[in-house]
Amino acid sequence: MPGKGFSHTPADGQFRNYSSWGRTRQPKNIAGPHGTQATIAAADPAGAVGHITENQRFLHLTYVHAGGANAAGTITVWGFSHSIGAWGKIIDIRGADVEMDTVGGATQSQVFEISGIDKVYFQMPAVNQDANDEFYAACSTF
Amino acid sequence: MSRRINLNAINFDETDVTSGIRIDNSIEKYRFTLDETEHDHLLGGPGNAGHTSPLSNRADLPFSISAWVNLREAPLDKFNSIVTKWSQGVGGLGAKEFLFSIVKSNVSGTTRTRLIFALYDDVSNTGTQNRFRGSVDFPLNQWVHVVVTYGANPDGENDVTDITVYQDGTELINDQDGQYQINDNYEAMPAYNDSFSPLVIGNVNKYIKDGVHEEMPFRGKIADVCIFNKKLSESEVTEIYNNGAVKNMANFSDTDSLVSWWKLGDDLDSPRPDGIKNYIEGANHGTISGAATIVPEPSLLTDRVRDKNHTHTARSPSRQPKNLANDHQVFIHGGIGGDMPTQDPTQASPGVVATNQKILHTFWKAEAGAGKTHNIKVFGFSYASGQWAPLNDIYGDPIELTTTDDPVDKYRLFEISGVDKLYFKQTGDALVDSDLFAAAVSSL
Repeated sequence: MPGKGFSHTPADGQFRNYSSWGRTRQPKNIAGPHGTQATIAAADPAGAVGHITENQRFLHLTYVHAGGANAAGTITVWGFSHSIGAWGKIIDIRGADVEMDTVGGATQSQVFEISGIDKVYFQMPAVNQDANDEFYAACSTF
Repeated sequence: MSRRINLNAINFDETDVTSGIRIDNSIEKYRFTLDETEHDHLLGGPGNAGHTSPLSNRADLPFSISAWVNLREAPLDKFNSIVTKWSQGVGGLGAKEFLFSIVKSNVSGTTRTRLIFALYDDVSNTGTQNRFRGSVDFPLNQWVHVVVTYGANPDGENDVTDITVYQDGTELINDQDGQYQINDNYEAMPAYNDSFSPLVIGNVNKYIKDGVHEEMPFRGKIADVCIFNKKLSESEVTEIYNNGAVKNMANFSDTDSLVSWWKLGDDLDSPRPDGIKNYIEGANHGTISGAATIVPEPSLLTDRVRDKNHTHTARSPSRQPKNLANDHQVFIHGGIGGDMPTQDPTQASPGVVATNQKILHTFWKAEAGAGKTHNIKVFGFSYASGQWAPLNDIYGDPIELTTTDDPVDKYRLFEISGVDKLYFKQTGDALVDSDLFAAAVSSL
């Protein structure tokens, strides 16, 4: 019978695709499919910008500095909740600024607790960015 | 819970003279007045090489402009542009069509801040205008609804300007003193201008004086600009004024006449190029220039609601933060929420119900100032003890926010671990009306 058995190849359309709104154990890329880079901008956020977090608890950031002439900098994370309707720089439950320092010529990764904020926006001065660098953001809850 | 939304607005910063919103592809789109002398002066204007004027003998087109403005200051003889199609100093004719603005001026010994509207006869380059100047002082630091209508005098009557200006739904009286070559006689001004200037909100296209860019930026905030292809009636102006609440123009009684609606910072708007959307036609969007920024404006009321009915019915827990002020996007201090208490809670103080959630989300935006200290202290109440007390988080730290001298713009999280109710108190120097504080709770 189609779709059953460990070795049987199911017919098209018989895969079940889970499309959860957050609550993932695996970090889920918030910019798109796995491997999609997130956006960093130099300006403060305003209006309809940023990435949707699906109300997840943790934010995973990874910055790959390609070793170019741009100096290492600091990525500041801004948060937006629909219930409040305004952007603000996030300070976590421990009182720490949610920001990550990049490292020249190296890959830096860090996890932050963002407690279900609806959207995040990443800011870093343009002088610290380079087109060859890479930046990824993901969220998880467990 | 309602579907209320907080409006945004555009704040125009005059320290950057280029602050404004330039509307894309707007030169011909918003050309309402025409040169009836058959002089095809547009061929001489910059950026219009090869352009052919519309057919002569075509009459002016009626139009109306509506906007919400909050003027911060009005230096003497400085124009605060609301909506313009206007340039000066760029050479050639046809630079000016209309100017809708506020200016403080000394007229016959009396200094007043006035709402003005001018249609230009720029073919002669003499500055001839058909100009309206309101006879009442324009207020500062409050939202005002302004409308100008132009009927184009379809019957060609003499001594008829066919310009009407409204302020908060009330028609203003024209108060002119002949300062400019003003012609009230439509027939005597056949050469209303065919401008090559784009439409600009919050500024003019260019104003070069003695080789220096001065422009004429608005000093304050503007929200919801609409353009109509007809002369609005008095009843329609009253409808759009909507008793002081920004109207959802999707419900306007004559949407066919609504050519463009820029919400200025709401919905899909962003600081990107073409980020200020025209929500009528999907074209003629605006680009923010200079130091103009999108800002939250919770004090500006509206009857617009969110498209989706977002109703919180669960007491707890929620992953998405839930606003503590019992309504979406309401600030505890600022906007319709009013001011935060300055006294400790008493046993009778109701506080706000925290629905036993784990995380407290706070948003705080304040200007502060040199030598000023602002403090927001959070108290908690648990039915188990029946007492209010200053709240500490699970790390033993008091839950409070403080700033001295410096402005703040932060989103601060605290772990409150299921406390029943919360109370927010401000101490130190008083927060001002434009400061904002909001709080929400979630369980992640």
